[in-house]
Amino acid sequence: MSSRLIPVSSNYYGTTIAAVEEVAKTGRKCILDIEMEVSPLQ
Amino acid sequence: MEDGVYVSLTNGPLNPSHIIDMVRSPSAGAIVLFAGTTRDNFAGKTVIHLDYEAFPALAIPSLRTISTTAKSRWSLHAVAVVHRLGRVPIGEESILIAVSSAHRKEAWEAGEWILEEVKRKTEIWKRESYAEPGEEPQWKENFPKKIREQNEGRMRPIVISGPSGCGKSTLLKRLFERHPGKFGFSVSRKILEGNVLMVDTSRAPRQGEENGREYHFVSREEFEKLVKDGKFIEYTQCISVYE
Repeated sequence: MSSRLIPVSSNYYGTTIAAVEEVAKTGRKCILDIEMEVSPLQ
Repeated sequence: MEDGVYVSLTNGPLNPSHIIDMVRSPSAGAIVLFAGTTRDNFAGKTVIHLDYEAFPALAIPSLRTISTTAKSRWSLHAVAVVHRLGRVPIGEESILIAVSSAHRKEAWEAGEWILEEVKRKTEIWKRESYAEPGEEPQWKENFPKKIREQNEGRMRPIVISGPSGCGKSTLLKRLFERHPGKFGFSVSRKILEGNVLMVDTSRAPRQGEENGREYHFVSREEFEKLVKDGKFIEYTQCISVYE
């Protein structure tokens, strides 16, 4: 089997604890809007 | 109480026989019950009643941690801790601790340890009111300004999750409309656009996204360092394959 390079892009997304604390400091409850993970269609 | 640990906070009078039943076990040789009752005097003053206040979101996990620790340290069968909140008249139970074990020695020791830990560590505070004129009610022991401030800084976030199109945005929009000033989004959802293998299309903020408002854009190295340092409450990596 021969190997070949395939084009791939990778992105990171995340929320830091500090960011959540920043919101809490303003007296508001922080909401995390999290997309559900899905398997990529092949 | 599948795991043999039962903790609760309640506003009404406590029931010792109920909590004994919670820890009852055919293989136990002892049940130790501690009942803390409200005393009518403090430092020469007459106490007329006590008020207990708690931060349940923190107090329940604290009670659970203490109970679980005791259960494993003394190999107990079961542990139950119930604390009463609100105004408790003199002479009534404010806390019940029940512990069952194969032998009494472990049960005695564990029961005492649990009480001391609860008094020291849980987010439950008591205030005494006195009969003497001019004596202001007083918050006791571990109460709090400092603890309260810490708790506010640690206010727990709410996670809304679901697949695209399920209505998360609609729900959130209504939430924000109905409760103005109550909720907020975390600003710094960090993104890295970096590329592995062949393609390199690092992207700048998209139109309408402003750095520092919806997202902070950081480099791969910065991001991975934050991950390594445990700074994220959540993160994910999305990989797209172009073929």
